[in-house]
Amino acid sequence: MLAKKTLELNPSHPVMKKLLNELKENDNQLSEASKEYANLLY
Amino acid sequence: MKDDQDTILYLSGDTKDSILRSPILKKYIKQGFEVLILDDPIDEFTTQHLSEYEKRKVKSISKEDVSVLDNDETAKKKLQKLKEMYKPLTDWYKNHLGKNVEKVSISNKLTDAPLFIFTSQYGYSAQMEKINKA
Repeated sequence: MLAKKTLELNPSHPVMKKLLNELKENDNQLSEASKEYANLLY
Repeated sequence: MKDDQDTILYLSGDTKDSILRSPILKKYIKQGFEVLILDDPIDEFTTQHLSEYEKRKVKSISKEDVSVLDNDETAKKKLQKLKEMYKPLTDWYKNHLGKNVEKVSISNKLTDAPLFIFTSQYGYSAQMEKINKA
């Protein structure tokens, strides 16, 4: 039995702010570099 | 323990050092909450069956349903606003990770860490999963 996971993001962290801004500016798309970074964080 | 702390909080892990390094512990300590550090594997089994002790709920801070931090109305409104503001990012993460996570949301439990994976209220904790795999 695996644990059910909930991912919680820290809204005051600079990286999260940057990712949110990028999504807003690019029609909900992230660049490959940002995607990689988001994966790395997870 | 704080007078208004109606929940006994704990965090389990392999060693005391690793538990003390957890990014979710910081804010509880900062706000004056006492958190039990449980580093013995048997603790995890015990707490699975101990939901209440002396009329106080017993909860792991690694589970998503613990909501003792920032419990006033202003903080709740602020969190709600942040959830709306960050919806594009939470939606993106949910789409991107698919079935790997059950839910993506905004946290009021983190200070320095960008994100954290909590376990659901009723499922296994991460530590229990680790024990079962061993």
